[in-house]
Amino acid sequence: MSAHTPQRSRTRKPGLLGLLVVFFALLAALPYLLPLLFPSLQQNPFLLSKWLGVLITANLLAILAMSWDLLGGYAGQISFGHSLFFGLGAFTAAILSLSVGWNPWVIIGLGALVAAVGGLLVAAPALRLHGPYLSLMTLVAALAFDRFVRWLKPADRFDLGIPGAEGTILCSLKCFLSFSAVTKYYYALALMVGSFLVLWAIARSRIGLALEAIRDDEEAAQAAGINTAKFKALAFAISGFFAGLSGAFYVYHIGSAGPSDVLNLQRSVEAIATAVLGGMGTIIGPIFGAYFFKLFEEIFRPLGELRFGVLFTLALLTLLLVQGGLLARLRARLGPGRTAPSPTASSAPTAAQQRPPGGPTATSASTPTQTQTPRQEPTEAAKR
Amino acid sequence: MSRTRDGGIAMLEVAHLSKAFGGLQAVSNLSFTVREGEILGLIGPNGAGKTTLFNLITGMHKPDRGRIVFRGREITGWPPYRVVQAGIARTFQIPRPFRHKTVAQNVEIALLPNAIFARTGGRRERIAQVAACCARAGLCEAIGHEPRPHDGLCDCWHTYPNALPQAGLRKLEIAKALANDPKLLLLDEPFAGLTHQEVEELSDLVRELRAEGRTLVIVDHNMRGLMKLVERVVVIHFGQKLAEGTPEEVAHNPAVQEAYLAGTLHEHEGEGEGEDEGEGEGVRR
Repeated sequence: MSAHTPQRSRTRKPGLLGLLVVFFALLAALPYLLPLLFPSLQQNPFLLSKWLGVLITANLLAILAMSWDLLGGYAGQISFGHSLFFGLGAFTAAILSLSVGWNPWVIIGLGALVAAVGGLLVAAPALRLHGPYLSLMTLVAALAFDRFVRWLKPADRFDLGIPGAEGTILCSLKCFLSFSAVTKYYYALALMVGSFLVLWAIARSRIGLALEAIRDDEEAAQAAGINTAKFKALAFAISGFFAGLSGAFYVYHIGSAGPSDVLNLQRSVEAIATAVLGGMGTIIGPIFGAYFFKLFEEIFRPLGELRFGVLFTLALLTLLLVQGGLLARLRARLGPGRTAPSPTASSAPTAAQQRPPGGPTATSASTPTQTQTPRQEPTEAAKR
Repeated sequence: MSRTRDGGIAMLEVAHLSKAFGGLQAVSNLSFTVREGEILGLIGPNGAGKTTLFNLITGMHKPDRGRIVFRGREITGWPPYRVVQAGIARTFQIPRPFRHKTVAQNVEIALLPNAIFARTGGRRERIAQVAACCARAGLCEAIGHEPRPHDGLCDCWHTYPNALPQAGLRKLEIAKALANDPKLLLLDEPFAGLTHQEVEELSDLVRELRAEGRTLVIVDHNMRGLMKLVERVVVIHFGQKLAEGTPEEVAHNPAVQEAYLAGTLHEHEGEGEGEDEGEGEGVRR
């Protein structure tokens, strides 16, 4: 290998990316695989539609959680109010589908754009805030928007179809993609894979590197000449865009946009839990987290309202036991015997970041010492 | 660009600069000039306002009053990234590497363009620049790689900052600063906590950087190590300028001696000075 070029360790990446390709292929084959695996689905097409519906919401949660991950996992701007962007996309899509009735994809795109503008608006005060203050601001912004919509009741005020309770907009006749659950499933899957590819490319680009620098040490990033305000605003806009995309498609999936649904703070918490469970700062992790979350939610459905209690308890236990997220655990399985932080650019933060200083793996990487010998070991390990 | 009284070209002019944090006047009506091509020592006891001064010059804090003029342009109140673009780079007293990124990526971050849609092909150039900056700051030796004989470069893409000793982290700070090709380099206590040999190495590097045509300002809380390195010294005490002159003049200035409690300024010889402040934090993660 040449001595001064970055080696994006090629021995390792195929493991994870290969797994992802297999996973995506599996998801693409699912509408045909499911009836084969579960004969009961063959006799009952409604049951198949139901499960495809669950998978659609898993894909939408994956998009929302990935969008959160770019902002939270990469730029270190922990948002507790991602339901705001989801809701902006959802309400834009619902209103436009009823009022102008353009092509669904144009409307879904516009919903995402409006949410991106919302991201920029939130970024303006967010640039002045840090840590808990920033998180609280995003939370309050989402709450304020929720209450505002409930007061405004856009369906009544602008004469949009049949008014629903609490300002809900019912648009199932106009916001409509397909009768076929399979077709809708493929739309959602394509949207998720497309969003993943774009977010993954951004995260691996120099923009992602700048965001990680801001996350690690904002002042040092400024001293390194990075326009931190610009990159943070960009992260908010991109994150808002994809959260809005998810919200807009969601309206086309369920046929209504209601504050207690799309603006529910539980949605923000779900997005965070999904991203953190899957692995923050990875973009891939939230996909696994979302499927994990939605499938368990469905499996526990017989428990009724208790299922969320069980689900969040399970999430709590996973957070405790699988620090760094499911992806980090998976990665450890795929590439055993690695002691140094991985040189795969975006993977390093996950393991180290989650742990408090002095945690078991944080110290195992290397201990800075003044002596000559120990500091060469991690270098050698990382080169392998 | 203006000239100083004795004919030198003023690179940086700080005029009547003041900054207060609540009731604490950190910098008070401070004026001094950095001449082009010199190595200026900026000394003062702990808490004298040296780091605040760096923060004001580099735009991390906004001054309450006063002006900062760099190469004829007023840069007062500019955001940090514009100050860096104008040609001023700094290091931190406690090295602040991006811990989750490799040594080379740390330098690459400093090389990143701020444009969102930069032209393609930039990365290949950046990789070459990263290697040059790492080698220039002496990071090859710190990592434990021999620089290759034909071009003096080495592999810094696989070492994380945690693996570097304190002196290596200081060099990484300098490599990050050099990535922005500064005309003026501000070093905040670069020698604190280093062994005698490491101080000598770093001093040589500073001289080389000056020979390349850069101007340097070095902050320290005493003059040990600076005496042989700097040509001129500005002493700061309680945010105000106490004295200015050659190291000898300043060391024999009674006011300066008093400020330093009976002459610790030039008599202190102990190694490992400065370990009390920052050394412990320097290795934290």
